[in-house]
Amino acid sequence: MQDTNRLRPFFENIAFDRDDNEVILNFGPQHPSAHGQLRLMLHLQQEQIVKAHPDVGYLHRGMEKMAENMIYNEFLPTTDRMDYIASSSNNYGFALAVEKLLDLEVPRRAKVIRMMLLETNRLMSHLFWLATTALDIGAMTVFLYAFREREYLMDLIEDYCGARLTHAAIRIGGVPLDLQDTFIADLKKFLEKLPANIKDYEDLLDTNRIWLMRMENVGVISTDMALSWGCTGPMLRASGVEWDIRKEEPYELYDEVDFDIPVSDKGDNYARYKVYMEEMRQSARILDQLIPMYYETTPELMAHAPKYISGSKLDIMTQNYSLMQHFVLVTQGMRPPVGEVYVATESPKGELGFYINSQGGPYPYKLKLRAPSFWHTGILTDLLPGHYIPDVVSIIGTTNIVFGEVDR
Amino acid sequence: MSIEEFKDRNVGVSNYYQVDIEDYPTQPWDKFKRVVKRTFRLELFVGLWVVMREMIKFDIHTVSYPAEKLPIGPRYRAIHKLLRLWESGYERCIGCGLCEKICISNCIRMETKIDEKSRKEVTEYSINLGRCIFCGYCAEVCPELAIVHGGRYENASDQRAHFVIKDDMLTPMDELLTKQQQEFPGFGAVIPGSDKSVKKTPLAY
Repeated sequence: MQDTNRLRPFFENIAFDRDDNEVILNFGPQHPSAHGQLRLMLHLQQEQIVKAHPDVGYLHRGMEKMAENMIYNEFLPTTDRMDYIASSSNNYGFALAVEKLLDLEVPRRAKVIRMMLLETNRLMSHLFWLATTALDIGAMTVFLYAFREREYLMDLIEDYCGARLTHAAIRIGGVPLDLQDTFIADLKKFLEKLPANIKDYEDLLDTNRIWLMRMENVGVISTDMALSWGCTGPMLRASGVEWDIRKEEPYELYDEVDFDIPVSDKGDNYARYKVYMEEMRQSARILDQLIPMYYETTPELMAHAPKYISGSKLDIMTQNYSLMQHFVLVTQGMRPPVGEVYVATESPKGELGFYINSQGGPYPYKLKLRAPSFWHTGILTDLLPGHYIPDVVSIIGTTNIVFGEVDR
Repeated sequence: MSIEEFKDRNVGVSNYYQVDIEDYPTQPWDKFKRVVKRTFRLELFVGLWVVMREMIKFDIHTVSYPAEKLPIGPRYRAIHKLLRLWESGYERCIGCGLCEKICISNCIRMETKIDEKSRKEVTEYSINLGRCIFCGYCAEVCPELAIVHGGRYENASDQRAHFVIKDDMLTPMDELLTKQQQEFPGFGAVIPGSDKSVKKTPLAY
C-alpha cells in the first residue's frame, strides 16, 4: 500500500495547473539551508506542506561501483568523500570492515589513536551540526563560536595527518602515523575549554524564545516512525530508542572507556538538539580517558600481516623481502579470503555500515555502503507534511544530513 | 519491530540516560503560564552578556591573509616535492612507479629510460594538480622517501589542469648544499628513532 503522504514515482509528470490550491515548491538543490544538494518537492496548501518528496542524487559519484575497480587501499581516501564533515569515521568504518574480512588484530596504540580520531571527528561533526542548524534558524553568533571551536579540532587533525577535511588518517590494519609531540597537549588544552564553550552555546540557545519556538514540538518523530524508517544515531535516540552501536556491539576500545548515551523520548527538534549537546560532552569524556591509555601502549602502529599489509617504512627500506612484498601489495593489492562481511559503526550521524563481498580477488566483488543520512533524508517524506515552510529548514537542520553521504 | 520488543532485547548495558527536558504543557492554562514566563524571562540578556564577554576579551583571531599567513604543520599535505640524497646529491627517485600505480586520481605521470651506465633514469615526472586529491598515498608507498608533500598550498592557476614538473619539485642543489632540504614527517615517513631497531635477519616474509 502506498502511503497517502508519499508521491508516486514519476512525479515529474505532475500536472502543474491543477484546480486546487496546491502550489508545488522546489526547495533546493541550491537553497543555502538545503545542506548541500537536497532537492525537496513540496506540495503546499498556503504555507502548509501537504506532500514532500526529497529528491536525491545531485552529488552521486557512484562510489560503490568505483570500489569494484580499486584495490582496497585505494578505496580508502574515497570514503573520505562520503561524510566529509567527519571523514575519519568513514575511513574507520571501511578499514574495520576489511580488517574483519582479513581477521586482523590491530595494535593497541593504533586502536587508541583511532579512537581519538573518531571522537574528535564526532565533536567536529556535532559542532558543525550545531553551527549550521543555528545559522539556519538565525542564531549567527552560535555559528561563529562553534566554528571557532571546530577550527581548533581541524588544526589538531591537520597537524596529525596533514589535511583538514579529507583526512585519510586511518589505514587497513592500523594508522599510518604516530601522534605528533604536541597532539596530547593541544587536545588537553581543547578539552579544558570545551565544557565552557558548550555552556556558552547552551546559554545562548537553551532558553532562547525563538530557538524554543522553532524547536519544540516541531518535527516530532515517534518511536515507531523512527524504527520503521531506519533512523539511527541521534535521530533514533532522540525518539526514545536506546540504541548505540558503541554500546550494543562495542568495537575498538569502546568497551574499555566509560561513557553514557543520552536518550530522549520527546522526538522533536529540541530533543535532538539536546542529545547532540550531551553527546559532545560524552565525547570529551571519552577523549579524556584515552589520553592516559595512549601512554600505556607500545609503539606499533600497523598490524603484522605480511600477506596483506606492507611492512613499516623501515622494513621496506632495509629488508629485501619486505620491499618485494610491498611492491606486490601496491601494484596488485591485497587479496582477502573469499567471504562477505557487514560491519556497522556508529558514525556521528548514525549507523555507518560497509558490506564487502570478496571473491578472493584484489578488488571487492561488491561493496555496499549503508549511510545513515540517506535514511534520514527518506523520513522527510513522512515528517514534513503538516508542517509549515519555516519548519522545513529547522527539520532539515536537525536531521543532520550530509549529501556526500546520501548520494555517495 | 515495536519498541516493547526492542526494549526486551538481551543486552547487559544500561548506560543510557534521559536528557533533561521539561515536559511540554498540554493544558491551555499551563500553556498560558509558559507564555507569560517566557515573555518576562531575561534570557536574551544572557545571550547579550555571552557575546559581550567574548567581545571584551579581545581574543581576536583575525589573520589578514595575504599579508600574514598561519604556520603550516610539518605534516601538511600540499604540493609535492622530490628530495635528493643528503650525501651525494643524487635524486632519490629510482623510477619504480609505485606512486604512479597507487595514485587514486591517476595524476602522476613519469617517463624513465635506461641510461648509458645501465641505470634507470627518470626523465620526466609530472603531477597534474588539477586532479590530485592530496591523499598522501604517493609519499606513503615511496620506498625511497623520494616523493613527499611540501607546505606550498597556494596553487591557484588560470588553467584547470595545472601541472608541476620534475624541476619544480626537485630540491635545487644550492638548497641541498646549504642543508635547507627537509625530511617530511607526515605520511610515509620513517618512525623517528626506528634506525635503532634495524634488524639484520629477514622478517617473516
